[in-house]
Amino acid sequence: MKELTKTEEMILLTIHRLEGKAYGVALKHKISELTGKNIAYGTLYFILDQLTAKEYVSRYKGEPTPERGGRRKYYYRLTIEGIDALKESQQMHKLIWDGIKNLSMEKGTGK
Amino acid sequence: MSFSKPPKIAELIIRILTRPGNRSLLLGDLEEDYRYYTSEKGLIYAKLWYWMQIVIPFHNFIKNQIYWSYYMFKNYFKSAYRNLFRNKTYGTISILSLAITIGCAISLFSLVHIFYKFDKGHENRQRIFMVGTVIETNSVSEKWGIAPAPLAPAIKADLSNIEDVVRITYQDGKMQNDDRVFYENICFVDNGFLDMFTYPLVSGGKAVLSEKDAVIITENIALKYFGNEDPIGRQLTITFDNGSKASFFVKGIAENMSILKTFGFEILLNYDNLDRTGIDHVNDWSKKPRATFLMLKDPTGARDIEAQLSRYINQQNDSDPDWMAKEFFLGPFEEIIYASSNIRNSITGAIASEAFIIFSAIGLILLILACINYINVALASATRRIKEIGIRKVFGSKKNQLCIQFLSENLLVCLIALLFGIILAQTVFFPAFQYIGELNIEENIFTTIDLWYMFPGILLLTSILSGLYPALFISSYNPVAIFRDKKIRIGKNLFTKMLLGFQFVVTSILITVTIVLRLNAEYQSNLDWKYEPDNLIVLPVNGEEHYSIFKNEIGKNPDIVSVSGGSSHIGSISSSERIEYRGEKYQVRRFDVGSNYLETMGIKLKEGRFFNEERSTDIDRSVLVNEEFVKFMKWDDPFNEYFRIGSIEYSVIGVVNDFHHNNFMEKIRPMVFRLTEENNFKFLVVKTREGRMIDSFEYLRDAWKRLLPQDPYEAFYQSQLFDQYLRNEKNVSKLFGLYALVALVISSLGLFGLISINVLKKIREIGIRKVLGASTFNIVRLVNKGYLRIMLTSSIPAGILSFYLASSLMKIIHVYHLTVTVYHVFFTFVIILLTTLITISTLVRRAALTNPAETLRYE
Repeated sequence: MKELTKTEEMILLTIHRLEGKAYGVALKHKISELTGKNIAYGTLYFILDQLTAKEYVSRYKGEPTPERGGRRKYYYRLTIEGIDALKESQQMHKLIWDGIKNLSMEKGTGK
Repeated sequence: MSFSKPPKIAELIIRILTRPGNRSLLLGDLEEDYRYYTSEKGLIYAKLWYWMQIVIPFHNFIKNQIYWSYYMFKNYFKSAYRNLFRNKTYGTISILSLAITIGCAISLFSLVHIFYKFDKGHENRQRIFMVGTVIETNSVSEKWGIAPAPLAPAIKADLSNIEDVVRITYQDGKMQNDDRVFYENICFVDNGFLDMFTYPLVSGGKAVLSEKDAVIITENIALKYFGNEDPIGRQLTITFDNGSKASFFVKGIAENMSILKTFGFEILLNYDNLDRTGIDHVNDWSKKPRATFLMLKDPTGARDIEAQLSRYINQQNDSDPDWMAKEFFLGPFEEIIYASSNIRNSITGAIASEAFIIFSAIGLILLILACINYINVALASATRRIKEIGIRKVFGSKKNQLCIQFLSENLLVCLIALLFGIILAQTVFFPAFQYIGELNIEENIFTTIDLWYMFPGILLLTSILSGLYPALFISSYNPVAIFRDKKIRIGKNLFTKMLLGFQFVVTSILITVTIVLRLNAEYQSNLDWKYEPDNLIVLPVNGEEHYSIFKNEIGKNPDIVSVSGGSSHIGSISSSERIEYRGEKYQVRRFDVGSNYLETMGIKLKEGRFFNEERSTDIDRSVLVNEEFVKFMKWDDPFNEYFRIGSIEYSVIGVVNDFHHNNFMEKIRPMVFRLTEENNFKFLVVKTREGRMIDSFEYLRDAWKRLLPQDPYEAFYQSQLFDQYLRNEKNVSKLFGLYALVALVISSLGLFGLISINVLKKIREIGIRKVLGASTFNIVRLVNKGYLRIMLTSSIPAGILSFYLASSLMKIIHVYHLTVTVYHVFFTFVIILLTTLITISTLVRRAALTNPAETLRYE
């Protein structure tokens, strides 16, 4: 299983946070709310397409709404594989960060 | 709360630039955001934001879409370019043959296009209609392009929706300014003529046409009568046909007539001047002007006007019972020139669209021949690129990508060919066509072409015709097959053979037609006219005063054998006459001649006797007829038959041998000869002694200048009467010669290409065979037996088709023509065979004489 990139991880976690209400606009806004970063729709959908292809997320149709000009929403949901991938990523973070408490110049740079 | 929609254009751009998969999703998201921003930060911010969504990622789009495709095509063109230059024969042959034919085709299409511009220079043409008459004889309706003279003013006075009605009549007259005097064709028109039709004036206004003493002349006429002096206000004296004389003042100068107008004028007078000629064009419904045109305010009302014209039918038929009209019709001016084949006697004449169809067809066929060269050469040389194709495929090129690659290579070839072709058309072919066809069109391929779409059209046509098949064929190879058994057979398939055969067939048809046309032109210029046009001088005269003065004078000259005259003349003027025999009417040609005329012209008597002036019955009761007349009337004994012309009954006193009155395109018609008085003579015919014709011509001119200084001397040689016609025949054959040459060159180039590639493919085989002791003859056979066989096989259909087409062409054009024989076709075959052998031998010689060490060194 390949490792997730940071953006992928971010998007997967945001989908999880939104609890079934994850679609384009909501995801974009939630990400910018959480991180202060602005993510373009192009980037967002490119990654979502990739995640869908890896079967980490699944997509299902919502109802058409007037504020979208009568277009459907597409909601994203994590799959088992997606959750496994996130768990693994979390595990990896733990392993990497384990024992590091005070991040200062001396240790890391070898002085 | 209602929201505004996002900007439409921006939405459209996004729609175009996004992939269909996520399109609606993205648009939905953007719209939702847009609404959010509208409510939070205002409409302007929202709109700006929406637009920015396009602007921000645009550089990515450029990079991905345009930049990379550019590189892709650049790469295609680069490999095309390299391929062309690596294999020079291949490139040169493809480009050269395409360039030659494109040049030829462009010139042909431009010429054809010029002829479709006839009469399009008249600004009001959509509102102009010709008034014509439908005549019914023996329950067959015929449209005639003429109408009674008084109809025009009647229409103008009675009907609405008429802007103007204009009549046009031509008449010969003698025009004089001091010592410059010539016979001229004078055009009489109604006041509105210059407003209705577009004939630009150099000086003077259109309004002067309404003045009865005004004359408008063209620049040519002004030069002829006044030289470099200013003609405006000068006086010209015109003597009309009936002898009446009047003076006119030049009040306008018109531009010289364009050949793109089917009718025009040199000297223009007001229509009222016709009363000077003694012809009643005001009340006499039996008088017909050359043409009557009307211009409508609203052209959609034409049918309505046409229906109303029926009220004048009785007036026409009462005064002209010989020409019973069924109805009048309106012919739209823009269409009559093309429909004129159905309208008799139309002023516009008819455009023979067949000739232009043939021209365009030849242009297309030549293009196809060149495309065949490309296809054959491309297929044959594909073996050399088979590994490239295999490797491209292995690396993931799809079939349609390879197709696009080959098509773009082909596009490059066609583009280069088109450029050369345009240069060739402008510098060689178009001037050549003009020269051969003796056309004086001050145009070139660029000015004649408002056909801007022609160049890209030809480019597209040639590249698709030539490129599609090779591209599909080559790109469909299976890479596994390419690398496993390196023997892919290309260029030997049936398709190539058929294309090659087709080239041979077309070439041989064109060559045969050329030969036949050329020989026919020779044949006709030596064809017996069945009378003696040699040593005959013909002098147009005006009645007895000229004739008798002159006849007495020249009778003294010992060089002159005989003198006669007539109001008709063989080869120039005769009338169509309706004779009545036992209650039936027949159409014949009538000649009114002097007593000695037939003898002077050298016409042979078959039976009976010639005219004798002394006998009083000869003058008003007797006629001579030709053999055809007797056949036509199915008479056993012509001397016992009587027929009527008008109210007078005639009997036949003699039958003459048939002779050609007109050119050889026309069948000899039944003719009747009547004796006429010297008073009516329009021609004086002089027979000179053998070899004294040119001297006599000089003598006649001097005598004329001395005796009749006031009248123009316009004599001509009878033998030169049909020179123009015979020259046209030669020109047509030259034109076809050019096509045939182009076709022959193209086919030879194609063959050359195919064989040279074949030689290259077999170069090692040839080397090995030579080492093992093969003779030169063996090798020659090895390389070209396939092609020679194709040629021989295709010569059978080629021969049959050439023979059939050439002889039917002859039959269509001429009545009296050369008979196409097997020899002509055989001659074609010899020409093609020789060309082919020369082509083959130059190549094979090289292959056969190469030292095998050269070719085998690298093995």
